[in-house]
Amino acid sequence: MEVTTENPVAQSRLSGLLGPENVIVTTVEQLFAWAQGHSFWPLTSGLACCALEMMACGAGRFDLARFGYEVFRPSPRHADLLIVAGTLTWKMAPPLVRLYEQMPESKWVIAMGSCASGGGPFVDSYSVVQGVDKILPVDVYIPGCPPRPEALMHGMLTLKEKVMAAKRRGGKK
Amino acid sequence: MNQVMIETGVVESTPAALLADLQELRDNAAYRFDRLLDVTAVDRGETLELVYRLHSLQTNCDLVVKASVDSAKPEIASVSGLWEAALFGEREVQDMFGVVFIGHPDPRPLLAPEDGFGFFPLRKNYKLPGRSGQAGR
Repeated sequence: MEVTTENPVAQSRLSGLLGPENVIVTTVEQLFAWAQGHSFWPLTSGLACCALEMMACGAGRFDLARFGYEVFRPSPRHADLLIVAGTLTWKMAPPLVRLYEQMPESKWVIAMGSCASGGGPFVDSYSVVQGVDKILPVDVYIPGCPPRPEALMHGMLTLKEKVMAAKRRGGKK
Repeated sequence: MNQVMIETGVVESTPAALLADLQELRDNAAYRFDRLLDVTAVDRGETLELVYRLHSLQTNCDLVVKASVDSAKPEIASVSGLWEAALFGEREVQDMFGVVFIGHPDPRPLLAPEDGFGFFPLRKNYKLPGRSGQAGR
């Protein structure tokens, strides 16, 4: 087997994958993980100011579409990624859990910003959930108040790594 | 329109007489308080003081009407039959102070979760739990 590329990283990765006749041999699980990790369909789920950074992320200047993550869906039935972008109050918590439950498997949750990660500046309030991990299983936490679009992109790429690594290990999610 | 005249008076009422008093203020041609600006409350310890802010588009006058209820059993008639603007204000006071508005057509929590906070945040005896205090919720 011979792989021709200038990139040493790509060289090392491809050399383990390519068989004779340039055929890539893999498992269905890894193939699905590769597709899922490169094509998240996020739910349009802005709760507060972080949502504006999320919108900027999808717009032309930052262009989330470069990574294949730009298909924000207004319906949870079409989405597989819940980006909790903003402050979550106890009043809003039941509807958010309901949205999460309406999303089909496989699904992931990103806690975007200080509020979603741990309550943020409102951590002492009686009405604010002290981090969405109190009510939802969070995969990636993004710090910042609010995080810049680059940080959200880094979070989604981190989630991609997580999705693909989990399937390589053979574990769940 | 009449001349611009902005004055704010304060009158005390009682829970029993509140509805009749407010109806008089709204309908009597001498007053014509046709708008309800706000319903809120003040915790005075033994009593909760309900505060109704009225405004007249006819005379451009403001009026504050107050009525005190027992903090241990805070109940008062809803004024939503006189001004629909009271619907949300009374629900907020209900969430924040625990006042029961008798005759309110839709007394679901407005700001609190569906099953309520379990406490009344704007009462003076409520203390913020701090960042570790919500753990049991």
